[in-house]
Amino acid sequence: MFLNPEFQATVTYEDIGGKTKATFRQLFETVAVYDKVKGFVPKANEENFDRLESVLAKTNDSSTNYQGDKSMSSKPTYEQAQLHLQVYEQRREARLRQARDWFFQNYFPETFEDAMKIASPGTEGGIFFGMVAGYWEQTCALLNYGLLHEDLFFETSGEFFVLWERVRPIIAQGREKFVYKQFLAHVEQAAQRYEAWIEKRSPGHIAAMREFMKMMRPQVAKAA
Amino acid sequence: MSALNTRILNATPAQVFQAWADAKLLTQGWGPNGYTSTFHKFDFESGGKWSFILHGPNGTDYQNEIEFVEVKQPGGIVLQHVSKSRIPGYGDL
Repeated sequence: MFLNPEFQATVTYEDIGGKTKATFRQLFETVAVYDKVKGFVPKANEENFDRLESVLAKTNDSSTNYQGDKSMSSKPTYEQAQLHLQVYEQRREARLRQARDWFFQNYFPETFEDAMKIASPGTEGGIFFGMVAGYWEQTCALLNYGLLHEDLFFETSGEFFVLWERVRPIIAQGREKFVYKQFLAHVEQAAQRYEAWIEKRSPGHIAAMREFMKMMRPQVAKAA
Repeated sequence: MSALNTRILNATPAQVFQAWADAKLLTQGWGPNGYTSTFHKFDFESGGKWSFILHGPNGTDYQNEIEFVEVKQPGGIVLQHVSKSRIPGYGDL
């Protein structure tokens, strides 16, 4: 990738359970060019991965906030605490509470078709799903824009992460069907941040929680 | 005609993507060992331009002009390296 031959490069990132499989494919215009560079390009690219790794290690250590704000390692400001409580006040609203209860007891889709059955548009389930998804997408957006204090938020709310885990099996299809790539994108980003955050503080917690959620699923299915 | 490098990185895809998106992080993580870079333009978005000088360990500067053909998160990045120049010992590429 270095020095200056013409090429097209494609970088891909694949989630493999908290880690990332990264590929760097470099396509050269002609065999002649490739022949000239093949002696050093693969090695140079490996070295570039080494450097990327050390940057990632550094950012993980210093808990760099992805938005580049300084909320993470510092105390929440009065403003952040205010907004935090405001968001909590909204969450306590009677109908939203009902919707949240419904969601956590009933929403276990494995396919997009399941999801459409459990929360069909126009039914109470559909409305409840919309309320829960809408509330957490909005709240996570405030977090991702750096308006909420990350530590404070992650220390006191984990529900958005459960929401993300529940929709994960169907999200790709949902986004495709509705041609809406941003659907729950803030929840997704917050969930990824949370996973990195909690993994540093309580390694293994996410795995334990996923196990627990798996156990819950059949019971609920039976009860339903 | 193509080279493929693969690496398992101890970070989430969002974090890896961020290491690309943040010019400050990318300057630290870009290039083979011993190379540093000076960014002049870094528009990390589809169609955006990335222009920088790669400073070689032996003092040679390499001007790099890159276009981000596609940038999407999650997923990946496609970039087109458009500058042509001479590499000592390798001739005109």
